[in-house]
Amino acid sequence: MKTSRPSGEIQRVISAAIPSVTSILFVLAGVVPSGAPGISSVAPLLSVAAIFFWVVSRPGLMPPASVFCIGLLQDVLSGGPIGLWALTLLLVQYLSLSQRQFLVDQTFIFSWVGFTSVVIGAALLAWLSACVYYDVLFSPMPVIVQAALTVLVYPLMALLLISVSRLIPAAP
Amino acid sequence: MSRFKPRIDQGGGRLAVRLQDLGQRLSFVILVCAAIGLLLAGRTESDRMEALRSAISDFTAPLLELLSVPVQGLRASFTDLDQYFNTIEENRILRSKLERLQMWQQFALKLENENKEFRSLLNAQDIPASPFVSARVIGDLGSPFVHTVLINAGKKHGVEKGMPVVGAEGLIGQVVSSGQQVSRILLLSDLNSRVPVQLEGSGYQSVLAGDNEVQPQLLYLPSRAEIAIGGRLVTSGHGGVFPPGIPVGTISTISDGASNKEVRVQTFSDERRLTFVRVLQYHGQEMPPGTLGVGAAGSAGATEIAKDPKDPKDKGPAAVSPNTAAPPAAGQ
Repeated sequence: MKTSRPSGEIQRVISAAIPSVTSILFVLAGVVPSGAPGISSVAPLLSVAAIFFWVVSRPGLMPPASVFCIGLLQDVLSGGPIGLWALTLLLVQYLSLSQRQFLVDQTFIFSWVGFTSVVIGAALLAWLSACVYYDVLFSPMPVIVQAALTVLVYPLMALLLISVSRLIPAAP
Repeated sequence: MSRFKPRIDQGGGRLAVRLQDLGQRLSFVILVCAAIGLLLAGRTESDRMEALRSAISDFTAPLLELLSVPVQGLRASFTDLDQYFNTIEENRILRSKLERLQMWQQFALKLENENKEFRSLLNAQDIPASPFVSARVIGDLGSPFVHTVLINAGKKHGVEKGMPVVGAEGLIGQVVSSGQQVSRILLLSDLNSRVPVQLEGSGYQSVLAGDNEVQPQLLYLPSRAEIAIGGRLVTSGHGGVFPPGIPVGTISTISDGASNKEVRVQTFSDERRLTFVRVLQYHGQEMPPGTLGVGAAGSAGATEIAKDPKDPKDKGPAAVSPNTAAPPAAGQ
């Protein structure tokens, strides 16, 4: 009994960190040079997918502070304005949280549709912020392609994340 | 008592949930403000933000390197497979290319000798070759707004902000920030990229400006300049950031814009397929206008060159030494 407690505690901490760690891995995976021509500027927004998934399935394990740090990491690595993704991912968290009650216990199609609306919101905010920051009107086309790709790869990512989320014990 | 207990507990639980909810909301609002604050700070204190960025990038470098190994391995095996099926066809192409290149080699050697003679006759100053650092691209975060890549060489290896970066084919960009372990390279297509170039042959000056499109465009080209599709561009060396003569690209499209001709350039280096790059340790130097001779102030003491042992001498002129291979611009 005495020895099981600390190990239970460690397990609890590890499983609580899974959402943040997977999101960080997704950010890093998005940075690795893929070598596919033309893909790098429209690579899917893996971090948006990860945050949406965790906020909907385990909101307690994805607090605003984690979201902020994940966004900051993406900002640093992308070379874009620092704060842009931190802000965008916080919006993703807000939108996902507001949709959560409609999406929990629904079929996957519902959450896919919900995710689409979140991606549209995120892409729009990122595009607007970048335009204001650089004081240029960026072509919206790459952003649209990026958003579409993100929506397309979501089922695959959800499949991966669902299997990861099985490792976390149910909320007490 | 026992009947009430659950209700009290539930109430306490609800309060805790509410407090937690309030805390989350408060932290959410604070963090949104912090993100906006960072964005604003980035506009006014860009140097400090860049330092912060370098520090965090350094920290993530080992992880990125680790992750890029399997991806690159996979990429290499796909290429191998592709090559395996095309061996015969490729052999034929390579053989004919070799024949042609051998002819060019003879021609180049002859020209080189001739050049040497003329130079000694004119007592012209040679442009010293810059030492360079070879590095691998470890990060290429897709973004519609910025076109930069991360390489695994930093201050520790002698990479500093402002240094030009070249590949086997030609210019890639320049270092915009360098941490201890990693540096960030601004690619030619980025919105903030400006490179002074000149048309090979005619010597017309222009600026190659990125606008986040795949092909950057030429700005400030004199209206009388005779340009044609296929015209080669090299760096002019003006401004002192890039050494003169690095091959940049060829003119790909000429269209009539709103006020001026819009000229787009297909760069020699393919930004989407960068694996290894070379950072030229060229320390920007201000040159007197109208001269191309770099003079004694250049990095002539280039003895401890970080020579890439695999640097092939027969891979075409651009691969030998990008900053000296192209002829110095004529007519200046």
